[in-house]
Amino acid sequence: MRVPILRLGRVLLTSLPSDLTDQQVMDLQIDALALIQAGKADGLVIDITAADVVDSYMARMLSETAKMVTIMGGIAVLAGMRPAVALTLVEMGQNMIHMETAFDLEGGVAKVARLVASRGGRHDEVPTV
Amino acid sequence: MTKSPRSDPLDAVTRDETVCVIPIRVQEDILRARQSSRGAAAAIGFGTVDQTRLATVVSELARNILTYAGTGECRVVSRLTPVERSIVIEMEDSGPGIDDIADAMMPGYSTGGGLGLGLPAVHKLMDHMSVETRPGRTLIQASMARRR
Amino acid sequence: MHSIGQIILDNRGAVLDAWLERLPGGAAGARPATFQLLKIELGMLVDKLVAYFNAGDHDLGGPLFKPVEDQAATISAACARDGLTPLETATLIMSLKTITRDLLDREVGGDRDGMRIGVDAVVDRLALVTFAAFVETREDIIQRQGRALLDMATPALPIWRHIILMPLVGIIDTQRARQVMEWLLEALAREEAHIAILDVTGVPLIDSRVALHLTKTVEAARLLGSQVIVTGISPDAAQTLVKLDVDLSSMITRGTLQVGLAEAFRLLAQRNQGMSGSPF
Repeated sequence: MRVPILRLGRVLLTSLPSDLTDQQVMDLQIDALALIQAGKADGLVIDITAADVVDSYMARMLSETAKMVTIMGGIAVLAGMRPAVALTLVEMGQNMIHMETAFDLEGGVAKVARLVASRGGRHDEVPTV
Repeated sequence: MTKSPRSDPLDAVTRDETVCVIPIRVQEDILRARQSSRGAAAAIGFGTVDQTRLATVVSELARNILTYAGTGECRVVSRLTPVERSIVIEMEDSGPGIDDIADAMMPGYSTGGGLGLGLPAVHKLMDHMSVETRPGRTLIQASMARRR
Repeated sequence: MHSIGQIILDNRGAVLDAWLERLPGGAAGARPATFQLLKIELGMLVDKLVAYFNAGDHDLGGPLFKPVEDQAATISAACARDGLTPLETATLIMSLKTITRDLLDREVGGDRDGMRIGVDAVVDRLALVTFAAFVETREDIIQRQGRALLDMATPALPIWRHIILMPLVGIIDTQRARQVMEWLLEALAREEAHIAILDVTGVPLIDSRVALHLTKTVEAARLLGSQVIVTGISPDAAQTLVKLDVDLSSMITRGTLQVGLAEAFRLLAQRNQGMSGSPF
């Protein structure tokens, strides 16, 4: 089963289940990129509150997804990481997660908005000079 | 998945040992092994952070088995003695083995398309780790112990 | 003909006075409360010694000597807690030898029937017990202080909505660094804090190892979506860190807690800007 992606205005929201498989992560990456390419969103917020383990494979998939979203002109934010997971990731090595972060889903949406605003607006809008 | 107390007449009095065996064949087995190790750690009183470290290690090693050997077995051995609680993770497979252990322990090394952080990360999260490998059999043991 | 036990009992007051006179110089004068307690405890030791001598079975390893040993251990532990040195404590117990010798000289005109050898053996034994009890008490105190320090030195205080303060005091080793990181992350999650101020004014030494731990803590907090401001890095530490070529670029550092707090409010305002602007 694919992990559903919700669209809230110009932001894509998705919440990873605790029993996420490698295949589901890969599908999620493809789905999110397709939606951003279609011009339906400026950013993606991935909520990982439910994840009690983020291993190096997951960390790499998340970082890569963020990088791809950036290349396509969007912004990806990881939200709601558990303290124990953050601690473990930091102990495993430096910079395991290379992407923007937020405290929770709400903070993630706000961060996307702030970063889009600081860049000068939506990526499909022509600035009024 | 089977659970059984390991019989060891010599120290049956002082130590309470439980072994949990999880075969690693498909991706879902990674999750199963992860949950078993977390459960075993919680059962003998490890804290949330240590449970997470253990589950992460199991995840790394089980994925290695799927990627490099195809199938294998994960054993979670938990021990409770009057002075300490400990967990040993044993991962065994009959794959081609690891060519160069020294290289595999260097951050960044990988032949399977990963980040190559698998083994060094395991080493950092656990207290002790040993690798026994030759073509046809690889056994990785990683342990964590805490004073009671 | 009196036994040694009877002689001591008859002269209980004199023995006790002589003993208290031999108290380590400053101790008696400076701490009257200690002196009073010690007087009572030494009196109990004298009584138990008398009981032991009168019982007749002079076996130092036997059950009859046990109460004497226990009392000596109690006195020694009290001395350790009151801050007497091991030398002072041992001297206090050993002075019983001189006191009984003087007593025997006065009462029976010197040694009689190996009385003195008996007393000397008892005192020697007590000196050993005293020393062991002293060391044990000190170790216990050190252990308890260590635990208390670890527990108390790192509180995470919510000082404003979304801001927590964690003042670090004392030496940061690897074990403590792990603990600090765990507590800080838990506090961030619990208090829903966006910003943590980590004040290191009370950390005596900041070298590259401590800096690495700080960097990891900052990174872990970032993963939670929070920011860490490190305050109170001394000029000495700054010089060391730069000379060691430690990369602190990922870390927000400020000289004082006051400036750090101002920075925290600035960051908070920046975050709130994003909150009010609608993304839709």
